[in-house]
Amino acid sequence: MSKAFGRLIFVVLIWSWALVYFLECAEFDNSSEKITIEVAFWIFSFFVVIELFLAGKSLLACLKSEGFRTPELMVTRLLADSKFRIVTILIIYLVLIPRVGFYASSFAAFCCFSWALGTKGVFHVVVPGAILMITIYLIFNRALNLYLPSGMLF
Amino acid sequence: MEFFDSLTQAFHMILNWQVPLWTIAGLSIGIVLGSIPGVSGVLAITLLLGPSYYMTPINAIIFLTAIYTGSIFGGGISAILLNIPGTPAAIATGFDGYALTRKGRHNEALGASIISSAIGCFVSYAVVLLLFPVLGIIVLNFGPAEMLMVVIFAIISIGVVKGEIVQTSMLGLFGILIGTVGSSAFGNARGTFDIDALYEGLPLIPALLGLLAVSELLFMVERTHVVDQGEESKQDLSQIVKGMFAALKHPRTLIRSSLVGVGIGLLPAAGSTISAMISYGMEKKRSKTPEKFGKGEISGLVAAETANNASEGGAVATMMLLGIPGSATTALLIAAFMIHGMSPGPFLVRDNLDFAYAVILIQFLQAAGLVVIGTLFVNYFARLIYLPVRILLPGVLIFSVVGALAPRSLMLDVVVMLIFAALGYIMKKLDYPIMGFILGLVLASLVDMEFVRTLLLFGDEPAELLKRPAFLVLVAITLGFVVWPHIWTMVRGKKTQPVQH
Repeated sequence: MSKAFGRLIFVVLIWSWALVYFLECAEFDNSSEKITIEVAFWIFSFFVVIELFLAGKSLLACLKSEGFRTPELMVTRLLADSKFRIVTILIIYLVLIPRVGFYASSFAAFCCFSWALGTKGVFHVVVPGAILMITIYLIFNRALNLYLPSGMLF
Repeated sequence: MEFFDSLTQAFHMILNWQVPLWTIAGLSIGIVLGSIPGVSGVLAITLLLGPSYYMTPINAIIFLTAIYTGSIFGGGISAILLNIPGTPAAIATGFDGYALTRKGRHNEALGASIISSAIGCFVSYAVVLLLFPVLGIIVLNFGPAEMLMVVIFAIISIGVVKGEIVQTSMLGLFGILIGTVGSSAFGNARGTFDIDALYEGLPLIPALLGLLAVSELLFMVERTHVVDQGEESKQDLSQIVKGMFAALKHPRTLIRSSLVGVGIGLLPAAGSTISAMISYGMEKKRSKTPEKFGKGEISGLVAAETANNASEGGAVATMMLLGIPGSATTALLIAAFMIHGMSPGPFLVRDNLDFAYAVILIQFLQAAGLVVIGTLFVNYFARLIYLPVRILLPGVLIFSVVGALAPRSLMLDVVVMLIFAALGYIMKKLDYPIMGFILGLVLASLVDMEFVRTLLLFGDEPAELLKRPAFLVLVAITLGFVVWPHIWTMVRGKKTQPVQH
């Protein structure tokens, strides 16, 4: 049931974005810069209608066989979920890169990722992180002359 | 004459000391990452696409195609040792490969797999080299209407192969819409949310990194090891060499499977997985001892491994000639061409034919390199397939961020990567064919340009399109591709019905 329900929501969301985009482009004077978007949008909408019908049908069939269940959302379960932890660390890491610097924030992020995935012992967390940072520095800064964002630290 | 001139220039292009180095590096990375189930060559190429921006165009493409070659072979290693295909293309390899491992003949199986992969790669590129001038002439006659038709065919064929035409077409069009974000030909900003960095268009590398690499990592989080640590298998070089000679005792299988592989590889969407399956099935059908298949028959392993590597040649030829990606890997290769200022398709054939030949020629070196590096890997480093997720995942995540930052050093690109990672994760979770979306995204600018040109040329007189044979042939092929499976099912249904009753 959750898959059919998820498909319905996903399709509605992407169609909403496409509609906003279509309306924005519809204001252009020159037809050459909007014609592709207009044609793509209308054909896209046609397939969206079919997909909504298919997903809706599948959802109804599931509801008939399984009955309606309220989706569970437990905060404690969410916090214990490793995916949630990884995504949270990733977002914090991206916020830190321009402020602290790529290498310092990446090293901290590597340690946090390892910890979140169950690595035990400081040595097993710190040493691979340090090796990775040195490798990235040598490859990108030294060999490819690519300078990654620097911040307060390194 | 032009063929020989371009070929000579291509030789000059690849005769430098950096070429073998990048080939070795690419093959090694491809084999290692391809052998780890769930990681695959797609992830390897995605991660290194950004850094390849800093290489010369020829080194970058050689490096990335070497990863592609290595990863297809690498996928077979875990299929043989553990019956867990590193890539979907290696599913058929596992049928007889794992059966041989259970008999204690894993070294022979690995040896046969190395030589089959190398021969498959070699023969497929030899065929491509011979056909390229002829196909090039045909492609040069393609106008905007034909190119547009090729894109439609590619999206529809993926839908037909996956059995989801509605979903693939829907996502393909969604990809086209997202791919047209940026400035229009007349300088107006389309869907940029007033962000200056999006004015040049959506950054393709971060988007692909998010869709293919980061989204995949989120699925990996739940596991402790990518592969469960099983019984340790000892490697033996003499047995590996014995396996190589055992494969060479099946020359017909090697040639036949190579041709099947390259033929199927030429079709968009039908990639290495399908060619390996078809080749395996054909070999079983032709065999005098079909009952031995699946129980450790070396010719079954040879057929599957040869065909999946041979399909690479066909896929790369289609990618270079038409600019159409047959798989996620070739979509990434198109992105690699684009970031180096080249546009795969008729323009590449017209303006950079020597470059295209250089890419083909270097594959022969890659085939030879595969034998040496493949042997070293299976003999010394095969245990890398047991790498724990807690080491693999943080490293790959940080490399993904570096890959997104590499082309422009903009934090916006990392944000784009994250947004597309979420999009990719949701699509995979909902079982949507993500390849349709990638195809639309990569080809959006081509579709935009060719559609406008088609309208300018034929908008007033659409009947003129019916006078273009190439266009009509492409329409017929596309319709045939959609209708044929239904006709086939109906015909087979009628034939089998009386028997069932």
